[in-house]
Amino acid sequence: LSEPSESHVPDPKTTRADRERLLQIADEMRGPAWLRQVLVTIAEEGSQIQPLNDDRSDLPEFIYRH
Amino acid sequence: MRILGISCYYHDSAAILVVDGEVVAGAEEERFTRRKHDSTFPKNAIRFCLDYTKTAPAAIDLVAFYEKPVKKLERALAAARPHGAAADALVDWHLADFVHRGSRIAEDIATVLGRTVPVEFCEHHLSHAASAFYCSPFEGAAILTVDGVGEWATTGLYIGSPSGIEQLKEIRYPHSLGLFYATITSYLGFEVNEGEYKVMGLASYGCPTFDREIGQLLTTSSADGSFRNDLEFFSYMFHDRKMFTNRLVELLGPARKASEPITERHMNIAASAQRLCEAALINLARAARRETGIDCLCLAGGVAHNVVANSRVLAEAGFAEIFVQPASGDSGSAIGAALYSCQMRTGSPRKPALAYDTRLGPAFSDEAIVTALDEFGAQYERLEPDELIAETARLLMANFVIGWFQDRMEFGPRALGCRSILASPCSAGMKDILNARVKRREEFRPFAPAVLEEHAADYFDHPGKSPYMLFCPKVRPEKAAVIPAVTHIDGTARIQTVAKEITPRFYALIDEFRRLSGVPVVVNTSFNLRGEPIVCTPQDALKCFYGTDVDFLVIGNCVVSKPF
Repeated sequence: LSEPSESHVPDPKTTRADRERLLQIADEMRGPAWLRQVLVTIAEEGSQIQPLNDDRSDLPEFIYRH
Repeated sequence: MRILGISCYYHDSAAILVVDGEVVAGAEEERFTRRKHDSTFPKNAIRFCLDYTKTAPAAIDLVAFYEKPVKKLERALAAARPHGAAADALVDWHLADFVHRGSRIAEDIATVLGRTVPVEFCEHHLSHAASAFYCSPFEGAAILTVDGVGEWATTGLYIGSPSGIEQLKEIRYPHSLGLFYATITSYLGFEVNEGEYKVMGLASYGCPTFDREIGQLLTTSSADGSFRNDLEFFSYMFHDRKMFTNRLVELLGPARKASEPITERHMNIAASAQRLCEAALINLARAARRETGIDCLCLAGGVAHNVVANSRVLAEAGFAEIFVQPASGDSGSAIGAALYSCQMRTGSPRKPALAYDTRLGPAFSDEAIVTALDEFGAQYERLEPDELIAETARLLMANFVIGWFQDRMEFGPRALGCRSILASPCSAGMKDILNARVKRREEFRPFAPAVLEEHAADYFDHPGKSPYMLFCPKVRPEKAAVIPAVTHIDGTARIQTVAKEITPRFYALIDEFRRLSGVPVVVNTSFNLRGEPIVCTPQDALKCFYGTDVDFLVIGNCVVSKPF
């Protein structure tokens, strides 16, 4: 396996902030219980979820995702 | 009360500012970043709204966001679940979208404003509904919203009254008229959320010989106006890059690639899809009329940009009057979210809008314009206002193509006389010149006429006004040969009626052209190059001017020419 590039190394500070934010949303949301569980799960695994690329070159694909 | 309305993270992000119930400034982010349909957080548009109105961030009471990200995630995950591993890529994308965008809205806002501000999240279709009703001149109205999808809703029926907006019904994902049309757009080799206009324009060249096949994709019920997509043909529920299944290819034949030529078969498929879209929208509108008993209709959502369908709804659905939000796509939802929040907070009865004005964007002083021209080394002449009108009309008469940059930039996809390219409608060859040399776009795409309001009925079969280019009536047969550059192959035109009290300088120009030519109409197309947003600043206008075969640029009180 190759080493991840620098830009792909999760920023622990950001991950902590992500976790707290997602847990707060899970705590306050009024949706179904399964969605609350999803939010708690992704809060715990937030560092695995890479940011999306907003570059123009991604647009033709991006816009298919509804 | 000052409320900032924001839409972003899907396409056409925008910001607008509402002060005491009035929209005072707004713009799409793409105009500043120069990336068409820019979906990023609209920090430039927010800064513009604050700067233009001299509003300090501390004075913002509330931010209204145009949809509910948690509910949108719920829909995406629930809809993908039955498809198992086939939907993994789409699910991954939606999770990342939520973690890094949807859940961060409040933080992004706080970063740009430099302080924490309360954020209200308005349902996507309610934002659309409010954007139409609160900008309309109606005391009360039925409101129909139709688009691809918001959270769960793809279509909504509401009643608007002085006391607020009440939802009656909705159609939910994956059944979607907008996604049906987007799927055909994609099948025909055009970009989704961009090429729908092309499908509509192409439809006029075809015969609807695929009605039986296309009819299998979407079935409508005249009993209640509803529709259902046959999901065998669609893959947008689980695929992250493709909207249709092989079943659609089996039904219609091979999909067109973007680089392939357009054939008669493609035109015929477009014609049948357009016809089905019109039928479905009329069906919905008739049901709305029956259920509400109200004879005014407000329309919004991306499908409301289908001007051909709008015209048929006006003629056939039984409503006396229709108001279509000029920015019916997601950028306009920022307006709706803010106006809805304002109404909810203040609780005061809503007053009908007098005449909704799309000029919400940046304006530039004569000094700023002259500075930009000098920095560019442009060759220009500064004229008195009356001389400017006379000279521009004379240039139009001589069949020159004019870049017209005046006043505040419009909000929404249409240039309505502030960031426009203008030409004479009387020359049969003008359409080809504009398509090939100026706009550099497909030859089948039509151009729109701007007509003096009081002369509109002489040229077009349209009852009343159409100030925002949202209807496409027939050109009167005896006039089609008079204005060939704006008469589409099917004898229609997407008209803009121009009123003296709204855009006096644009009105004066068309009136002077009428005095010289006898024709109260000019070609009006947006001031941009293919694939680029409409120009915002004098610098953008100069770049576009020098990069195309536009002959003269009339900017503020200056006429810029090119060395011949």
